[in-house]
Amino acid sequence: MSPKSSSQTKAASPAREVTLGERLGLSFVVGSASWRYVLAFGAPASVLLVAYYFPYAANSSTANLLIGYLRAYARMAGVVLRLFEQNLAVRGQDIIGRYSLRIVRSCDAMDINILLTCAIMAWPCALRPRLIAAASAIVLLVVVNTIRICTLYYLGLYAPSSFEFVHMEAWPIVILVIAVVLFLTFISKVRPHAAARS
Amino acid sequence: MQQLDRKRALLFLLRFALFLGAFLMPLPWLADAYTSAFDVAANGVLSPINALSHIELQFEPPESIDAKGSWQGQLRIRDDRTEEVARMKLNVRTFSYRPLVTYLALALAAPLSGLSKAVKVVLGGSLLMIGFGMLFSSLPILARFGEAGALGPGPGLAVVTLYKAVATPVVVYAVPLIVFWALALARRAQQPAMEES
Repeated sequence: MSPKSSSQTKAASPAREVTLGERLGLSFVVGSASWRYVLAFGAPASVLLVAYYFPYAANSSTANLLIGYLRAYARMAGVVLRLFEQNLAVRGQDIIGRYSLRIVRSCDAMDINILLTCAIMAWPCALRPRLIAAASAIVLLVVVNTIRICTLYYLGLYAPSSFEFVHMEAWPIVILVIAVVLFLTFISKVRPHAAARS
Repeated sequence: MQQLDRKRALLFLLRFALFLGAFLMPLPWLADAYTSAFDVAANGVLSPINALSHIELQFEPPESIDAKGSWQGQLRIRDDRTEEVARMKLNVRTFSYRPLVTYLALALAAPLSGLSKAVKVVLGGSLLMIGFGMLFSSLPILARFGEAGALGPGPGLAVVTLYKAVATPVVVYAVPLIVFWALALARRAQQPAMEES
């Protein structure tokens, strides 16, 4: 959000660069961000996404670490699902009940976690609010993603014809919108650095 | 966020949801019609590439436009030297249609005033997204070649990683959002600061 100055007037102010977004009436989207911000967000996000999705050799330590993490994620989703499904079991990355799900890379919403965390951490403000916001955002996204896995389990069970649409099209956009709202809420609450305001 | 901004942002979000919901509806004839259009456009892009190689890549559009069609594009790969032919399916909805309509929904939901602005953002951005769609669509094909070792170890790994990273359901939506944001950020003009109060 751009800071306001009551002393600025149309006639007296020096020339100022106006973003296309502002010209298009999209100031609430662009805030006080700049291309420097896009780079500060995009570069680490790209590196982390590549690190996560890299096709590591089977049985390499990184591949085993990722599998361990996905198994833990499956166990966590299984704990929640077992509140409603008594006979549900988790074996490795598989959630096995009346319907079965396998937790693989991207089922953990890691991509949106990376994008949102990098977007928050790149925002030009003090470190503490960024760390708090990033940690809170990750926790919230894990909760939302666990709900997503639970709904997909029941959808697979009771409405299998709509599973694909909800899995591939509806839930991803819901999670993305939640992430955007979280990000906009964060940038509206924090005070930007002086350098970013100028 | 200022009160006015919050209201505008919510209205924007609502309009975006309505447009995207409409675009994602399973409309009759849409699947085959879009797949045909995509196949024709992709063949146009592929023809100069085919001229340089002994491998000919060509999409085969559906024979008819049916009300309940398919989003699976069919890519025909032919080796001129051995005359061997292989076919690959490509989900055009995932790699081209969804990024395009997500961008369109964002652009249409934006409070654009003036026809030229609207044309610039809606048409210009859509053309950009069609290009991205082509790039997206080439990734699963190239990744298949990469996994088979046809691209060499380095480029093969790069393509497979890129494919895995950008072909996830969330990133397919995130790319048009980032393009839209980047377009909105683009600095275009020097003008005196407006009074802000």
